Parts: sequence; structure tokens; C-alpha cells
Amino acid sequence: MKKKLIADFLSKERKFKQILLIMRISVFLMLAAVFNVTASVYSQSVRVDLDLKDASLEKVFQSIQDQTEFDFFYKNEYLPKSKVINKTYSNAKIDKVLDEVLEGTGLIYRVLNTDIVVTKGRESDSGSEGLFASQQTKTITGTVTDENGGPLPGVTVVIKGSTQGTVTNADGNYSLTNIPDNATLVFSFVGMMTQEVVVGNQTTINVSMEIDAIGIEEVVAIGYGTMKKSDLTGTVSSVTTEKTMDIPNTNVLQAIQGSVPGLSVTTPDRPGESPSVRIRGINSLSAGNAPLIVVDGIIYNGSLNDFNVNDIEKIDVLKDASAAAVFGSRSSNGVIIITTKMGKTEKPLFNFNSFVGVSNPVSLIPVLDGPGYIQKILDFRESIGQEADPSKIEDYLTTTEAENYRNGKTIDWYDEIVKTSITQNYSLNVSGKTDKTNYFLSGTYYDQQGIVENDNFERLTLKANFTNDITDWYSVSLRTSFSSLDYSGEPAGLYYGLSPYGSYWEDESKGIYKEYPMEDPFFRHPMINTFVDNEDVRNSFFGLFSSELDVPFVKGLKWTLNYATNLRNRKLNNFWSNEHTTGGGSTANGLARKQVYDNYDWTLDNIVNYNRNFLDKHSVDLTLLYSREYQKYEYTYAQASDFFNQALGYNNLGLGKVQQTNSDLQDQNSVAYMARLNYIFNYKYSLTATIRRDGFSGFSKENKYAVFPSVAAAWTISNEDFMSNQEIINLLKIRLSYGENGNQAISRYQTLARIADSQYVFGDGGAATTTVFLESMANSELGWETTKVKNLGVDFGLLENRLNGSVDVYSSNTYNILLRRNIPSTSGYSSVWTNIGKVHNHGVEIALNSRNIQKNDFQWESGFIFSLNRNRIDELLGEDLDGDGKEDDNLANSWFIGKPLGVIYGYKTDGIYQMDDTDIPSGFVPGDFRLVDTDEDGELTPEDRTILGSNLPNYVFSISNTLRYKNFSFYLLINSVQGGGKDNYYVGNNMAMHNVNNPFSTWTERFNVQDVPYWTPDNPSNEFARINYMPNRSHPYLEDRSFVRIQDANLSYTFENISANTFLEALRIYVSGKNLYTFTKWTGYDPENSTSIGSFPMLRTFTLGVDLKF
Amino acid sequence: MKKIIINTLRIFIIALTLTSLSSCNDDYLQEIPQGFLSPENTFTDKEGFESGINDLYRVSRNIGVTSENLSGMVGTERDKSMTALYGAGTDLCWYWNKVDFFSDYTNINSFNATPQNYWIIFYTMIKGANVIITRSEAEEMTWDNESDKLLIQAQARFFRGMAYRYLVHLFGDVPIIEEEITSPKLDFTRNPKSEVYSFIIEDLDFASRNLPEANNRDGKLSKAAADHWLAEIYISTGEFDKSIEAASRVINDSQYQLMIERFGTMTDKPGDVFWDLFRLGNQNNANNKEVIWAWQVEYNVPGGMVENRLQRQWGPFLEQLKAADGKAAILKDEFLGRPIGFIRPSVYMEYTIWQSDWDNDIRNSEFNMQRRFYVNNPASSDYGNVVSPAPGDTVRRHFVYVQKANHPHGHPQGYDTGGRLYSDVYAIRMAETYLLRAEAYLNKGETDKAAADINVVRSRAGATPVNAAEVDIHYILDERARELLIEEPRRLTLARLGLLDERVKMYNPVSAPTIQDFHNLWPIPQTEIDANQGAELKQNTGY
Repeated sequence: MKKKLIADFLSKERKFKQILLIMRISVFLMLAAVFNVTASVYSQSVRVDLDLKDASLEKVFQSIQDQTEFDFFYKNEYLPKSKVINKTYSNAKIDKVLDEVLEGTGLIYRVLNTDIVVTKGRESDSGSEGLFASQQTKTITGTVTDENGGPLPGVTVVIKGSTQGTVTNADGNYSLTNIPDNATLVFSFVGMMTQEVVVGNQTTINVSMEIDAIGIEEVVAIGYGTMKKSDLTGTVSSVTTEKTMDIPNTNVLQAIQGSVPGLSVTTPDRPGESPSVRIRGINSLSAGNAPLIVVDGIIYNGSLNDFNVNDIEKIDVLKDASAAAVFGSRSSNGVIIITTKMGKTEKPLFNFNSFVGVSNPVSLIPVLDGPGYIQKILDFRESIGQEADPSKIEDYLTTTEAENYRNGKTIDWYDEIVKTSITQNYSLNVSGKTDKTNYFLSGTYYDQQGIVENDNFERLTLKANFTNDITDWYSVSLRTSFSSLDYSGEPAGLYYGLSPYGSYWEDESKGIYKEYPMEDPFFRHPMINTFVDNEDVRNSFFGLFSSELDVPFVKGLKWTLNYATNLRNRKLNNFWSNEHTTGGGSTANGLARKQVYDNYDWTLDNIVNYNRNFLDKHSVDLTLLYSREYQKYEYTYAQASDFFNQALGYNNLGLGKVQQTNSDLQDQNSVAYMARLNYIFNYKYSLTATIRRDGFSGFSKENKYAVFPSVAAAWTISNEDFMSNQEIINLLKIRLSYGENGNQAISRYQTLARIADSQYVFGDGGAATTTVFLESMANSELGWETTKVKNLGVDFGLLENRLNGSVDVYSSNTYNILLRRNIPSTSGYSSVWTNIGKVHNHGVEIALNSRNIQKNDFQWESGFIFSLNRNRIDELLGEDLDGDGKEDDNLANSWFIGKPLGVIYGYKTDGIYQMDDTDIPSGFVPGDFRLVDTDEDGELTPEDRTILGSNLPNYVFSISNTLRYKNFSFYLLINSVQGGGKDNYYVGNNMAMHNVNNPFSTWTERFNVQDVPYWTPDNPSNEFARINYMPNRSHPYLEDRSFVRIQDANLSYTFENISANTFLEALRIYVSGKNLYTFTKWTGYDPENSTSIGSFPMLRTFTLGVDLKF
Repeated sequence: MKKIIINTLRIFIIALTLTSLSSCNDDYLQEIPQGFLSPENTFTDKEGFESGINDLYRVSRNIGVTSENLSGMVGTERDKSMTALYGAGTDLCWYWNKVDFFSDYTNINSFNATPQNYWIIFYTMIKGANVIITRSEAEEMTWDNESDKLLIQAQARFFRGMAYRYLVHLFGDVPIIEEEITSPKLDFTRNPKSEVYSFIIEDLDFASRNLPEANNRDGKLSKAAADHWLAEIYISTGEFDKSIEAASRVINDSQYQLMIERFGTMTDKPGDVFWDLFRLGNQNNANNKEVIWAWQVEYNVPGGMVENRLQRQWGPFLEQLKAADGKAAILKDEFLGRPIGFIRPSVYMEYTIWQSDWDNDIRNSEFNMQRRFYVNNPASSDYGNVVSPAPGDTVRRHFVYVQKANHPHGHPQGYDTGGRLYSDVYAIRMAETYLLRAEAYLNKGETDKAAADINVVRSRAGATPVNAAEVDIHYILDERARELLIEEPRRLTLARLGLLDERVKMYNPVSAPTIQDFHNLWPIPQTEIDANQGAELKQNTGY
């Protein structure tokens, strides 16, 4: 009896057999996909002879069964009764027969060894009428993917509380029959987080598996390739932006703030501002300390503000030298690799995300009100021995002030100028993949208004990623992005020196501002700036074109060719009309300027990769690279002034009588050769060796090339046999590395003596004559800076990986430091680049993740990040010119042997001289800061200057918590930078708050100042100098910058099981807060950016957003 | 295993082939500047050297005109520097708050920005000159005419001598640099004044012999400029005859004479000849026989529009004055401009020096020394009347407005909040040559000849002639104040004579209690001492 009608097996009495069959089919489905080559052998070879006359499909199947070993599986009601076949086949292949007889029926078939399943359309089609469906239960099908969207074979899918289940096939597909509505499916896979899904009325359940926090199968980008995290030997932190995707971040690096130990990202205060980013402290004295940015595998020279946060899949941070060594000369400050998104599901997935946010200053440092201002004038006058008679106060005020004073009219300029800032974001993307093609398309509009008029930032980004498999062994891909950043508009001034008795309007009814609110031309009306016609647009196009070839005949050999080009263009146009005194417009009778900055970069990476596993124990991954890079910068400057007609502004410079132009061109070339070998033995021992040779045009002839080697090893102890008998430690791995990295981050042409030019006019009415002068000395010895780093790391996972993390300790020395050295101006030059000196860094980094609670309805995860870096100058110029037997410090740059970079050097203060003090030296009066005679020689001399502290942090930590309760999710990030210690770390000069006179030099009488209890004879302050204090030896006013900040918080709710008749797949709404509260002793605005009154305040932002998937 | 080896070899060969597809030629790593010139392709012909010389004119302009940012200082710092060099804290005036701009000498130390600012300007000039001098003699350079080379060198050496003239008078001993410095130098030491003087004399003497005789009144150097300063340096070295000789070469040159009749652009306006000398367009005027050398300023021309901010420095802060009815007395006005009264004149400057010839000396006429201001606010009931200042106003808002620091008949650009001027600035005017020769004669004891020279200057001004018996160094300093007020770097003159402390004690009651004799010299900037690690750059005594 060969005929087996599936319906027969679905009767309740035969459950056991039914399960067996289902399992068999499932396994067949899987195997068929995995081994479809073998599976097709039989069907390809078997031939049949058929003579069909008015035959039904059932009859056709029957005939084939009779002649072959095939069994047919089908459901009777699917077979169209009307289908009648008249055809003769002789020695025909099975597939040919089936193709023809099933044509037009909507039926498809699958060959599984000797079974042929005939069913309707695609398996995932038409929900409740599945292949194996019955009235009471149903079939669930779906695809399981990894978080990159790739199919995940071998995932176990079981019905919770039962033994019923299956595994996914090679395409990640699965199918389960006879599932009750109230069932829950459990998806599990080694290295991935187990997921549970309630079936409800769904018939298709697609699951994207997330890497388990321990992530042993996680794939990380390591530069010119990827590697499984378990095989890593270097220190690489890999983060997704998933947890922070609802936080309103302009720059993608803000989204990983607090997730990577050793990575510091500051918080920008202004719209469109780029944060400052550092990895593991600072190595270089004068050259750049910014990490190298790599986007989709290729070096990116533009700004990360060019990217939309939602387009980023993940970020890998290469921290130690062995990891970064593949980027050789560019990598000593670490490398940040950004991977943009690709499609994950077969079904196109649309994602729309939008948020609206409001930002307000966390605080505004108060200034004197009316009576305080009057008192200040009297105090000031008295202090300099001028008449200070309160009854004559009007004489001391300007005319406007006097009038407003008489009328009792005051103005709070903050109230007038500062507004709530609104941020909006709209982003839409679609992604998906088919057999051959994978795509991701996205567009975003981001608009951020500042807290003052015209402080605006607008961003449009477009992104398109495609890959296409042309053949099994050859694929091409294209990743492009376009961004347009608009910073146009001159912001209104956030001035605090404006008098409370000033006037806002010249003529309120006509809306005319009073150009000088208190007559004093030092302060224009804050809104006058907004009349400047300013256009500042920065466009960037980035295109990466790659070709990937699996070299035939040699298994595991791959040849990749990447070509990327990046065009960046900035247009900066300004017109200052003669109507206002800003920017010299009235002086020059209209001044128009156009500046065009053009950057053109290309990079070609030629990569050969060989990756193979031998004898199941030896895994080899070899990468060879040849890379060429070219960068070009062009600049055009055109200016015209003296316009008889102001109407056209900068659009027709020809109308200006006076013309001035300038232009520049710079270019540079680099070349690199790199080889990396990764060898893994028995999943326990890994070894990575890298060597890179770099050439750069910017260095002198003898120093064009340098070689950067590195080696690293790792031992996965937990894979050893002796560890297999215990349950506590799931992962234990030790990594050890040594490597050398370079820094070429000085600009090109520094080795050459440079002629600059200017102009001079001889005689009256003549034209300008060009003048030239030697701007810099030639410097024939400039070369690379080299950083040598040793790193020891431990990765661990405990208690079923509920607690996992890593600890790294490192020590680095940077040699041949590129150093901009101040030299006596007596030589006619103030500084010169040199290649000397040595800086030492060491530190420790800890990352911990813990799943504190893991219940069905409630999960709580915590993350803890800690890093500490110590920095020390070991050598400077190697000179002992003062002959004291020790190498000389460099006072001119505040560089001291044995001390960290960024020390603050100067006179130490010790309170303020008071009226009764008898030890006030010449040149000082009561109310002045007391400068300490540190060498106690009884005199105040330059030798009394001393090291007062450091602007580097003592240590940094952040704590994140994620809580999920049913459909609610809550995320909180606390971030902290701490100073203190015996070396007085992390202090900043907050001059503005302690000497109110300083910002305005001696003119404090004319301007308003911050409301602080400055010193007067009656107020013997020891913190705030007298109102007219002008230090005759400048000295810092140090404050501790330590802070703990509630950085980000987010609460979201996800609507699940959205009713079947909407197109929506998922809907999430969220509220977020940024910069919620900062605990600090810093009396200025932002301890992190060391800002105080006079700069922009720190902002607190709240957003409300929605995220739709359909 | 064998298979693995063969495979590995195969892979390597393929890989190497693929990665070496690109050429091994690395010519592209050669660096060729494309957006700027290098000395090797600039100082190759006469035109290149001329452009270099032109830059020395530009740099030197920063001494007498608060113009470009050579020293990294903001405009107000440069204002302070210039005010301190030209008057504040001398016998003429102090900064209005009595503290800044060298008005309170207890505040002067090696950290002050002003000495640093000038140090940078002077040594930038010296560097520029040395690059030209050294490279003009380089083997690779061939000159078409020896005279071209001499003219270039003469100008370069003039500027080098000029820079050292300022340095030696203001700082005393200073490092002498004779040629281009091509690698970082950290071991400067100070050469004694006497060596510096000889060095200056060599340079200026070379310049005197090789600069053109003819003065084209276009801001370019001629022989007389070198002779004029030679006359001054020879006084410092005690070589009075050589000084007289040098000054006489200028005085006897028929190109030069003091202007005695009205001339130039504003003869249709009420005024006098002294007033004419300082009007817009008159410094380069073909009829101006008094100009020896002027720094060039041009309105709204690239390279010419610098910030000559004399007005803000020297004029009273008129805009704060109130009329009798409490309304603003002086509104924005293109005739008065926007002085903001950095300085407060001493009684000496405002009254004492004028007392003897108050009405007849044209240098004290209402045209040149404006002492009355009229209410120009139509909204005030006091409109058109003379402003009567409140006692407090005299500190900063109401004092003599020296019209050398103004455009009395309107700014070229209308009202300018920056208080800028656009007339060229006299670096050397012949009246001073007479006063230098008078000083040399006085030092020789020939007071009659000294009086005669002084009287040439006085008679042009309509002042009563001086008797030989009355002439001493203080009289000459008084005469210099009358004639060269605002034009003369007063601090330099007094420091040159070593009389700064004495004169301050005589006439500047605000600074007098704070000054000591060591203040005659400026401190060496601390930045230079700190950076000069290879040798000690000694600080001046007292600092």
C-alpha cells in the first residue's frame, strides 16, 4: 500500500503516528534544504513513461507511484476536480512531468528523498488552511533569523510544556502542525537568547534571535573582515544601538555612550555639534587624539553627524593595539567601526520612527537684577576712587538706562532671548531580502532648533544598501549614503552682559530692535545677529562599491575589492548688509563672502581572505590587504564689499566695488600593505598576528614608510575538558596582546617651509601689492608617532551566563611623539613640529552585565562600565639644557616629565586678601586673590608657579539598567566622571564665576555681571574677587569637575498582537529624557565640557516618539 | 599534510597576485605643495624678494597702527599695547581707570601682554629681513643687476635696524640675530646695548647709502628715513657729530621742508597748516614736503583696510555725555566718530605745555585741540549749545580731543563704532629731525644751535621763539610733546633718554607713586624666557 493520504493520519486516534510523520517531514524538509544536492539525485535520474487520457491529478500521482519509489503526500480537497490531463510521456523526468501537470493549479511540489509533497502555493500562504491543518488545531510556519537578518538553521522550536517540536532548516524555516491557539512556542539556540512567543491567532511566526549577552557566536567587525567573538584575541567592544534607539541622539556615538569601557563621548550643548570622542585617554601631545572611523569596512574621513542613528546596525570599538593594528598608522587612538543595516526578512519590512522633543537649559546662571546692577556700579566706582553717590546714579547710567531706571522698567534678557528648543525627527526605512538580493533603504529628516533664535540644525539623510549575489560564488554590493546638514543662520546672542535697564525695542510698534540696548556698542541687540544672511550647508556623499569573489577551485579563498569615494562639500555664504553693524557690514558698506570647501577622498582596498577549517581542529583565517587612499581639499574664497545696492547679497559679488579672492588646494596620498593571520586550535587556543606597512606623503623623504606589527593570543579555558564538569563557569577566556600603532594625524605639508602671503597698498588710491613671508621652518625629520600597547584581558560568564563581563588591563607607550613645540618667538616662529618624546598610559577597564531577574513577565538587566586611565610624560625633548642632571620640563607648553598631559600649571591661590591683612605685597590690594609663594622665598616670582592639577579624569563609570514588565520596557543610564585623588584630577578653570570683571576686562562698570557675592570691604569673600579685579599675574580658578549624571532614561510600550486586519506589525510608543539631572560641585554650566557663563548652557531634553513596523 | 602545504602555497600565490595588481611605483608619496609657495620657488628673482620686502612694510605697520593680529592677541589687547607705547603711563596721560595700560607700574611684570606683543612684532620683522638678507646672497640666486640686490638689502637692513631701534630702547640688551634661522633655536642670549647700537648703525648706514634719494610720497623708503634714525641712534651712542651729520643730510635735502602754508584735501575748510598735515589723503600728498616716511592705510582696499584705532584710544568718551536736560548730548556722529577715552590726559598734556603760547601756537588751536563740544541731539532742549560737563565726566567723557586722532569732516564710512581712522600714519616727519638735531647740539653744549633748530619748528607753529638759555632736555621733551603728540611713541623717547620715571614723577600724579627707575625698561616676556631652554634669557633687573 503505497498511497498515503495525509488526511488519514490526522484522525485523533492515530496521534502517535501522526507525530512521527510530522517529525519525519520536518526533518526531511530540513535535510532537503541542507542536502538538496543529494536529494535531487534520485529525482534527477528516475524516468517514467506515462500515457494519460482524461486523467485526474490523483491518477497521475498514482501512476508515478506505481512506477517509482516515490510516495505522494497531498490533501484531497486541494486537487482541483476539474483538472483533466491528456498527455503522453516517454522516459520523462519526474520534475518535467510534475511541472506540466501542476501548471495552472496553484499547486507546488517538493521532493524529499522519495517523498513528494504536493501543496498549495507557498508554505507560509493562507493561514488557517495550512497543509496539515485541522479544525481544532493549526500549523505554524515561520523563519528564524539572526540579528543580522541571516537565516538561522538548527534552532529548536518546541511547544512550551510539551515534547512536540522541530528544528529550523538551512533557510531558517520551520513548520509545526497541530498547534493549539493557547500554545507558546519556545525558540532556543546555543549562544542566543531563548525567546517565547504566544501563538494566539498567528499562523506565521518569524523570529529574530538575539545574541545572548555573552554572545559567544556573535560576529564582530575587526577591520577588513569579521570574526566570531569567541575567536577574538584582541580587545573589541561590540555594541548595538538597540537599547538607546529611543534616546534623541544627533550623533551615533552618543548612542553608545556608557556602553563601552574606555570610550568617552561628551554631550554636545548646541544643535548639530559633534561630540568629542576618545578611546583610552590621550596618547598624543599635539597631534589628534580622535579615533579612526571606519564605515562598512572602509576608512571614513567625514563627520559622524552625517549619519542617521537609526541606520546603524552596530558599532565595534577596537581598543587594543593588536585589534587596531590592521589600520596601522591611523589607529593609535583606537578604531570605531560602524556597520550600517541590511535587510533581515524576506517580507519587506517598513519601519517608521518619529519623535518630537523639547529641550530647556538645565540652568541659567543668574545675572544681577536692577538693584544689584545699581549697587555694582556704585561698588565699581568706589573701588577705583571715582565718585559713587547713590543720589547721582543716573549720571553713571547711560541715557537709556537712566530713563528706564526713572520709570522703574527692568528687563530680564534671558527671558527675552531663551526659548524652548524643539527637536523633530522623521525616519522611514524599508529593508528586506530575497534569495539573491538584500536591501536597506532609508530616509530621515531631523530638525533641531536651539534655545536661541536661529541656532538651528537640519539634517536630511538618505541611505541605500544593496547586495546582490550574481552567482553562487560572486556577489556585488553597493552602500551609499547622502547627507545634507544645514547649519544656516547666525544665532541670536546669548549675552549676559546686557543691562537690566537696557531697552529691547527702538520702536516696538514697528518691530525695530534697539541696536545698542544700552547705547554701548560693545553689546548689540542679541537679535541683530539673526539679520545676517548666512547660509552654511554641508553635503556629503559616501559610496562604497564592493565585489566579492569566492575564488573557484580553492575552498575558503575569497577576493574582495572595495572602492569607496566620499565627496564632501561645504558652502558658507554670508552677507552683512550696511544696515547693521555686525560683521563689518556697515563699515564696508555691505560685505558679502562666499566660501566653498570641497573634499574628495577615495580609497581602494584590495583584500584576499582565506578561511578554512582543517581536520576539524585547525581553523585558519588569513587576510592580505593592499590599500591606497587619496584625499584632496579645495577651497575657494570670494569676497566683495562696498555695494551700491544691497538687494542681491552674496548672490552677485560682482556688484561690490572692492573684490578679494583666494583659493587653496591640498592633497595627500597613502598606501598600506597588511597581512593578518588568525589561527585557532581546537576552539581553545587562538593566535592572531598582524603586520602592516604604511606610507604617507605628508612625512619627510626618509620617513615615508613605517611598519606596525602586532601579535595576540587567547585561551578559552572553559572549553578545556577539565572545565566540563562544573556548572558555575560557562565562559572563561584569557587574552594577551602586544602591538604597535601609528599616528599620522598632523596635517600634510608640515615638513616643508611654507610661504604665506598678504597684501599692502603703496600710495593713495592704488591697488594692493602682494607680500610674502616665510611662515614656517622646513622640518626634514617629521615621521610617525608609534604607540606600543600591551593588553591582558579576561572574558567570563557565570551562572548560565547570568553574570558576564570582561576585564582588561593595558599599558602603552607612545614614542616619537608629534609635538608642536613652542619655541622662542625671538626666532620669528612661535612653534615647530617635532618628533620626540614619550608618553605612557596604563589603565583598567571593566564591563559587567548581569541578568538580575529573568521571569516570563519581568526581566531586569544591569550593566556596569568602569575605566581608569593614568597618563604620564616619560620623555620630552631629551634635553638637559639647564644642566641640573634631569631632563628639562617644558614650561612653555606645560609639559612636565613624570606628570600627566593636561596638567594645569600656574600660580596657586589661597583665598583673597582682606582689609586687615598686613602681608599684602606690592601690586596687590584687598579683594585680590592671594597667590601662594610656593618656594617660600618671600617674593612672588615666576618660580612660584606650580602644578595645580590635571584636566584628565581620575576614573569614569556608568551604570545602565533595563527593566521589562510585560510590554513595558524601561532603560536608565547613569554616567559619571570622577576627579580628585592626590594629583587633583579633573579640575577646570572656572574663571568667569570667580572674577566677574575678567570677561569684560576693565569694563565691568558698563556691563551686567553674574550674580555672585563678589568681594567688597563689607563682604570679605574668599571665593569671589573684587568687582574690578584684574590679576597682574594670570592664574586659574580651579573647580572640581566630578559629576554623576542621570544621562538617559526611556520608557516604552510595545503593542503586541495588533488585530489581524491592520497592516501594522508592531507599534511602540516611548518617552525619553536626556541629561535629566547632574550632581556636581562645578558652579558653571557643564562640568563635562568645562563650560560656564558666557557659553551655552547644558540642555535637558524630553521626547515623545512612536515606532511603527509594517 | 602535503596537500595542505600545496594548498597554502597556491593560496599565497593567488593572493599575492591579487594584492599586487596595483603598481609598486610610489611616486605619489612625493609631496608637492600646490596651494602655497615655498621659499625655494619664491626667492628666486627680484620680484620674489620685492614681495618679501613688501611684507616688512606690512609687519612694521603694526607698530604704529593697531592693525593685524600678528601676535595672537585680540584687538583690545593690541589697543592697550599701542596706547601704552604712545602715551599711557608716561608724562602725557594714564589709562582712565588709573590701573591698566601701564598706568600702575606695580602691575607690570613679565606676564604682561604688551611687551610680548611688541617683542613678537619686532622679531617677526627681524626674521623677515634676515630671510631676505641671507637668501639674497645665496649661491643659487643670480641677480641681473647688483643694484637690484643692494636696493633689496638696503630695505631689509633698514627694517632690521628699525626693529632693533625699538627693541634696544624698550628692552635694553636684546639678542642679535644676523641671519636666517633654519632650525629651532633655544639658546638666545642678550647682547649688550652697545653691540646692538653698532648693529643698528651698520644696518641703517648701509640703508642710507643704498636707499634711493628720491621720496615718492607713496609709503616707500628713501635715504632720509635711514638718516633720520641714524641721527637718533648716534645720540644714544654719544656720537653727536655723526648725529648732526645724519640729521643735516635730511634737513639740507631740498626735497624736505616744514609746511608753512595750507595744502591738500581740505583747504576749503576752516583750519591751519598743522591741521592739514593730518587730514585724510594729505600724508602722501605731492605737496607735502614734511613727510619722510608714512605707514599706509587705505579705506576699503584689501591690504589697506587696517584698524588704525587712534580715535578710540585718544578721544574722550563723548557718547556718555548728557545734556542739561538729562538727554544724551552727543548722538552717533560721523564728524566726532566714536572715541571711547582709553586715556585720561595729564594736566601737562592738556594745559601746561600750551600755557606760554596758548593763543598763538597753532598746534593748540581749536582745530587741533578741540576742547568744546556741542549738543547734537535734536531731542534735547540744549541742542546746539556747548556741553557743560559734570565733575564726574572729566574722568573719561570730557577732555581735549586731539584732532590728529579724528576725521573732523566725516569718516569715509560714516559713523564707525570701531573708532577707526583711515589716514596714513607718519612714521617719520621732518619736524622730528629738527628736534633730534637740536638734541644732538644740546648734548654738545651748543644750545644756540639747538634753539635755532627748535625755533624752526616753533615758528612754523606761530609760537614764540625759545632762548638758547632755556633749552634743556626737558624743554626738548616739551616741544616734542607739542609737536609730536600721538605721533611719537612717547614711552620709547623717554626710555631712550632714561627719563621715564623722572618725567612720570614730574607730570603724571597717578602713575608717579607706583614707578621706580627700573621701569624705564620693559620686562623680557616670560614666554620667551620659558621657551628659551638652552640658555638663560636674563630678565631686566627689578622684574
